Amino acid sequence: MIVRWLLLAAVPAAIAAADAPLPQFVDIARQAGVVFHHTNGASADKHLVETMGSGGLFFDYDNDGWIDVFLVDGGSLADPGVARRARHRLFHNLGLSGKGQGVRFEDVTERSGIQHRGYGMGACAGDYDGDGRPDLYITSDGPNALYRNRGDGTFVDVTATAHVADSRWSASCAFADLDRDGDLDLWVTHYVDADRARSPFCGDARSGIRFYCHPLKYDPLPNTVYRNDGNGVFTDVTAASGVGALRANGLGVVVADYDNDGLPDVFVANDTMPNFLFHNTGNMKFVETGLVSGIALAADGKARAGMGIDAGDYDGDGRLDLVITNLDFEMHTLQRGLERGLFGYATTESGIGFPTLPFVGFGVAFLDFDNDTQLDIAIANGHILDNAPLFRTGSTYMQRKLLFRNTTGRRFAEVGRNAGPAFAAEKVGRGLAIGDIDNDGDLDLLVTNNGQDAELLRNDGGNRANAILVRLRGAGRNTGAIGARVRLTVGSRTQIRDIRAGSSYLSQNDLRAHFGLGAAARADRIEVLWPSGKTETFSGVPANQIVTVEEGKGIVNQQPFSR
Amino acid sequence: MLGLAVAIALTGTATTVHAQLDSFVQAVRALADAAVQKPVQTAAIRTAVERMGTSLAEWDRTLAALEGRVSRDIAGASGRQAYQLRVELGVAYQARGRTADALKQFEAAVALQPPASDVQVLRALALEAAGRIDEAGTAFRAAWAADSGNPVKAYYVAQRTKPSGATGSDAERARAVLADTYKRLDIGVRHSVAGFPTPAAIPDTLSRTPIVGDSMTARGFALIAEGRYTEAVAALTRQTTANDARHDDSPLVQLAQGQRDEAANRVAEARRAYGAALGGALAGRSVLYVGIARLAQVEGDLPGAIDAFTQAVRLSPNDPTIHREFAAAYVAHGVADAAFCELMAALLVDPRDAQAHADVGQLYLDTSRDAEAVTAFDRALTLAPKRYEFRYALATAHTRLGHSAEAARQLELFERARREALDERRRAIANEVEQAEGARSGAPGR
Repeated sequence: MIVRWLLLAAVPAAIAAADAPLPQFVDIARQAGVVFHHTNGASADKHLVETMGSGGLFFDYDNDGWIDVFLVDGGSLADPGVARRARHRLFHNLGLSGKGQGVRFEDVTERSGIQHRGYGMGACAGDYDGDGRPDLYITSDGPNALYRNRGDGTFVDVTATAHVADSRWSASCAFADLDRDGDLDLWVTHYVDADRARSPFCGDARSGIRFYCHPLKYDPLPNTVYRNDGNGVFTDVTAASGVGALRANGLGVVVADYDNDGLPDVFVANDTMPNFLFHNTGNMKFVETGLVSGIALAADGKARAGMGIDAGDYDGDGRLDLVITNLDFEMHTLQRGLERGLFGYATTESGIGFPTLPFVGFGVAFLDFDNDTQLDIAIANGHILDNAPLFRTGSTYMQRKLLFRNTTGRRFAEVGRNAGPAFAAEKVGRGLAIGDIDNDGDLDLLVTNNGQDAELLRNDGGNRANAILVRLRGAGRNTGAIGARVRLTVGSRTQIRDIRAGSSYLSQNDLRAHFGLGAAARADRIEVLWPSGKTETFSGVPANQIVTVEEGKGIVNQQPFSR
Repeated sequence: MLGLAVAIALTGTATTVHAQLDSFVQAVRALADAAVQKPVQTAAIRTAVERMGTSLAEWDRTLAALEGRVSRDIAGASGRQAYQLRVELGVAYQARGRTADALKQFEAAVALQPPASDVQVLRALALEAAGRIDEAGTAFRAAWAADSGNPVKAYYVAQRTKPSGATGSDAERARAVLADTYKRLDIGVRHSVAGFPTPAAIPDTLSRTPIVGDSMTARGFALIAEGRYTEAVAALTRQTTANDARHDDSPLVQLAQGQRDEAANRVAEARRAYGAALGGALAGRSVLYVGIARLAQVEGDLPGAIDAFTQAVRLSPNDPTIHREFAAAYVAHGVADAAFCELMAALLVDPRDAQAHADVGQLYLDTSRDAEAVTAFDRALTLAPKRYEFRYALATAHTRLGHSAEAARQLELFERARREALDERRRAIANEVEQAEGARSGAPGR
């Protein structure tokens, strides 16, 4: 009886959500000073890497409470001149201008000391050395780089001393305290073993039509796991951890404790091969359980071309669910968390299946863009093939983004076309990150586009409903509280957010946990499960503010949203 | 096995009628063949239309003779004989497109031998064809009430008498019959008896691809599709001799435009164009409706998709693929019980449809009916042992049931087959690349 009552009760909320005005996303990149054009180095040689990058991230490198932007640039394998022009970019968030012009960014790349090497792919940021400042790891097809944040706006390359150099084709990365020893370890996915000097000819030699090769043309690679030894040095424990025995075409990664055993597990989206779930068994050992758990394949038993990945509890049942972006005609994947650590393929039943059929998806994030308390989904799309129409009539290289609004807790409606011209614009989308760039209480988007300008999509109207941002500071060496879980309860509804350094596709979100509260004026309860294992709870926290919580000290700062 | 007595009875009657219609149907086929030629064979179309007119006249004479015979015989006939005469005449009228007359005969038959469950189905289909949907629903329910174990009639009640997802007690009980039928299904049966009755003289499945008319033929085609054959012949005769200038917005042009739009991912435009093409379609309308439904799904218009699939299964009820696709649309719309009914419809047509069994299994998995899912996937694998992908779902069901050993065994079998398939694909891709590089360098490829 109670179930039926709950279902009936859900109906008005669903209708209200579907009818609520849709926030509009406006691309303010250029006006805000985030001027970045991605160098893809597209060449007649069709090196696969040219179409795969690159990512970007939100991270508050100077801890001033305004999230900054880092954008990874690609490069060129075919033309050294083009490669030399490629440049990663760091944009410092200056906050809101006094003239009502909105948030402003300054390009601080030159003085940051961040250099460009190899062909840039993605990045992740985490305070690996416990000095309170987020450091930066950049992946490449070529040498990866670790930059230690000096705290004065500059970064120093510590790759060699930290022993995290890797010259294989790396893709996404994530910082997480995988062994629960208090400091951040590092996970790196690798795509394929492609010869940088010579690209095979894939296509029709007679007509001269050449395509980027299928990833199965190349040998797969294992993921890399670096254990932080706590002295500024990492040890490659890939083989010992059990991870190295498995090879695939790894792209997206997200670290999440899906079975609530206190150990962070690792999900990897693999292109054209079964996705991985590395179940953390403790002591830096992992067992791959993708098939048994149900996340490896689609319901039809076939692997998809996994690109980006995110985890979140979209149906509010307290269990983490997964969203994975795939190739066109595959449908992007939604996996619903079930009991006992299993997942159920919810792509079709959720309504995200058919609308994603024409799209090649990359960056993806669960987010509550309208603050209605339900997790929605944003997806950046763009074809792999720059000559897609030659491969399949009707296919387009540039594709629009998708925005799935959660209408009932279990079902979504695609509203991207009506979420503003910038959102509907067709681009070669790759990375996607979410964060509140202007501290106004709604989530904005950073979208990177292959060979095109990056977009900074400001959310206008998402904050018509109430929200809370929770900023955590860990007590130990994991100062960013990466791996913490925040539970926020209003009435009978509890939302969960995990603090993650790396997700989506080659990207990373704002580390602050954003909760939409709908009409509620306060959160009845906020519970923080720190990575250290401690738990703190707070009651009656008013809405529409940024709450800073320090481990062991409680709420140390409350800052109203800028509106 | 499936209790398809209604189908047998209807087919038996319909076969007699169809025999009388043969020459008309052949003429329509000739018309369709001529219409799809490029360039359009106007002379052949005229010839076909003349043949249609001739055979129609013959058909009407045969029908008049049947009317006379029924009129003569019915006075002295027993109740059972009179019932049969009424049904035969009703079916003949329905085939001829004389729905009102058909309904009178069906109602008279029902009065003679209530509850006349099979005839109620015919009556319901006639009412449905006439757009009298509520009355059709009542007739379907009456048919099922008198034969409540019959899965075909249960399907009609479950899917046709209420809006999708309704929980009316009739629909619920009908769905229970279908679920029970699935439990007892014998997959050893090579094929079902006759599937669903299709009383129309010119079936929508006359062609695998849509036959759509241009400005000369579209009006006539539409009239044929409506069963208005006399008017159709008149319209076609008029149009094929008028030599009017061709309009470029004819349904045929719309069809071509829709195909171009669909190929170019112009989803909304393609959907509109296919909708316009329906207005001049002689056959294959179900194919157009399926296309519209797919496009609607991509647009996220699930109610629109369900409407289109509803039309498609009415026009082509014995195509398991359409029922399966319809089921997927219902799943996407969050209506699992309606999805199950469509999958059962596919299995009523072909109990050995392995994919339909796998889809039933997935539906059971989605609704946490894991033990039933095992049965369904076992059936799918029995029917299609090479479809190793089904083992993955079977293993999933066993895992959820806590059958760890069996799950592991199935996963091992699955993984072995999957790896082999992957290796094969890698080799194929490598071979393609090698050939392309060989051709590029002038050297022979392997």
